[in-house]
Amino acid sequence: MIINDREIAERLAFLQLSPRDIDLLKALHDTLQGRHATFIDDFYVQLQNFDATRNLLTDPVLVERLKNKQEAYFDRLTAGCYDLDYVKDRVNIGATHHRIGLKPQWYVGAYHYYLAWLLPEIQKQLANDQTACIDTIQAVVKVILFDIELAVDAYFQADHEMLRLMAQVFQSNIEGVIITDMRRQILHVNNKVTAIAGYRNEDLIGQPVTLMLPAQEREAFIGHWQEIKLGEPWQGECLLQHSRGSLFPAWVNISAVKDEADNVTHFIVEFSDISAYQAAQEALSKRTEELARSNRELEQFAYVASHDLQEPLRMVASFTQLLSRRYKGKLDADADEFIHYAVDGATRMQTLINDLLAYSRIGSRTKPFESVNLDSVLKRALANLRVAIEESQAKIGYDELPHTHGDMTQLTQLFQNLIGNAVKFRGELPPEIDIKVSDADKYWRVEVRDNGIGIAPEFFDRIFVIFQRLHNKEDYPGTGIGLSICKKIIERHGGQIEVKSERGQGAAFIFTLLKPLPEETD
Amino acid sequence: MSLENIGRAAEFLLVEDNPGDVRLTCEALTESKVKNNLSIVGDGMEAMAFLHREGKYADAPRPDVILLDLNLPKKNGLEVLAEIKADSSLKRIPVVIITSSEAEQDVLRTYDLHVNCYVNKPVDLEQFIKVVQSIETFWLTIVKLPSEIVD
Repeated sequence: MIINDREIAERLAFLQLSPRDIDLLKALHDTLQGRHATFIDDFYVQLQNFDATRNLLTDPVLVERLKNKQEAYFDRLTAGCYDLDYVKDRVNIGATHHRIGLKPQWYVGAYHYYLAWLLPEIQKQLANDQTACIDTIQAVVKVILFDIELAVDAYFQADHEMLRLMAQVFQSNIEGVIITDMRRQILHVNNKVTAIAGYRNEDLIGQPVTLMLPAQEREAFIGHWQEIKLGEPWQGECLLQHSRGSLFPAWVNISAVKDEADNVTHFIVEFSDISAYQAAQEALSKRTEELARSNRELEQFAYVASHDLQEPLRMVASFTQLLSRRYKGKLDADADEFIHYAVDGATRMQTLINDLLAYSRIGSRTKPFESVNLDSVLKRALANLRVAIEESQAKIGYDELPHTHGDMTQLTQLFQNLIGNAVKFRGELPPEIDIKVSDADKYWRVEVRDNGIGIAPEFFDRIFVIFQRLHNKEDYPGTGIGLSICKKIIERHGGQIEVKSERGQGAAFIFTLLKPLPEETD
Repeated sequence: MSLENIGRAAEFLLVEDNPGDVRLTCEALTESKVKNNLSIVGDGMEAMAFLHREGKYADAPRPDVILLDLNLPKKNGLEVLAEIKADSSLKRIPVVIITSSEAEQDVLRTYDLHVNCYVNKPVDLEQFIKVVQSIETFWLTIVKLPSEIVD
């Protein structure tokens, strides 16, 4: 709202506020100097009679401030200067009242109280001059009317602002929004309806909303509407018809608008085109499926390959061994050496293939997961490692371990490989191995720490890759399968494994395992 | 107590298609203390012909123990086992499955078909020889065989 000087002059002219009126008001104003306080005190007593105002006036500091403001307000009413500054002041006060939820009738009520106090005052002062008395009263009523008009303007303006905001929200919604009446006839549509579904406003206004539904969807839709009418919003996917006739998948939300008496007055239909989303979903699930298939195939391949390679290899190994057994020392030194390398190569290849087979079995030969007590898993692993532990005089400390959800055999293998490594890669001192568990939300965090030779950080990624070794076979025998098996087991169990170490500073392998499912907890 | 007491050599039938394995089994058995004859057939059909003394096997001896591979051409080990155990004249002959298959299914299925024992071929030569000799020692010197009972 823009109120300029011309608008003010027009309004005052409409009220026929004359220079004489101004003079009379100023004269009245002089006589009222300092006397408004009595009215305000009285007025506040009256305000205590209404819940709406009493609840606003509980804080004495606030009340004092308001009283001063209102004294100034009523004082200014008769001061005789009704310029732009006056108007702005009145409009601001109206806007504040609107904001705190005081309706316009409170204004009118307040003027009523003011007049009830003021009129006898005027009458008393101008008792001898009836004309001046009536004219003064008339002038006061004129400015009060002017004031009320400004207050109502403030209310209108605030509501208008809100409407403008809502209209903007309606238009800028990323979904198509349609408002219908009770009979599902379209009243309003936003711009997105055209952008998404192609219809122009004039194609839709006054038409039934089912216009956008293809025949096969209509019946189901009428069914949903029965629920919506009862106040249950409906959300779901359905096909909508573009103005060109093509169909597109949409996510639709329909809700009823109710009035204060809880009667449905309108329906709001919101929809978005989900064809891109659906295509992406389909592509994703197709890719996931393909990945799973190629993973399965790879595992199957590794298994079959390692299994089938074993047969011919067994022949090579057996007959070179037979050769060695029967002819060692009977041929020349070269022959002995050749036989030695052939036997050695075949033996190493057997180990590799066995390891590969073991690795591929983690994914292909699977048992269903069950509740597993990690305490018994650890005890089993330690029993399997008994000889190595005794020989190395390893000291092993551990917390009481919790339950998890998984495959007992594989988890035993996991602990066995990690503890076995800690023993194998020991330093000068006898191994000291510590197994600790902590709580990590959905997971248990298990740490296996040793005082061994450690691993330089640049090798952290490599150690988990199959057949990667950091040492030569003379110092530390093995194919480099152990940690890759650990990683695969952990990943199959939905956890993660990492290492923390420095060369010569021992190593800590940290992995997470899911806590048991709720129904499995004892 | 054993075949030695009867005074004839023990008869083995080895059903094995891989000549390498045949040779290894022969090698293992030549080091044996027990007198034995080893007959060899290369597939399941031959095995059944041998047992039923058909065609060129008219004079075949009745084996005391059958060593049967699973992965055989023409008629596989499972089929041969099933036929032996369903034949009233053959079902008493002990059958030892000796295979490289570690599939749990194979173990269970052969025992369902009343196999007498299931042995994996060890990958290592020493182990292989030990296993073949153990089989021999067990079946020929410890076990009382139905073929010892003279009607």
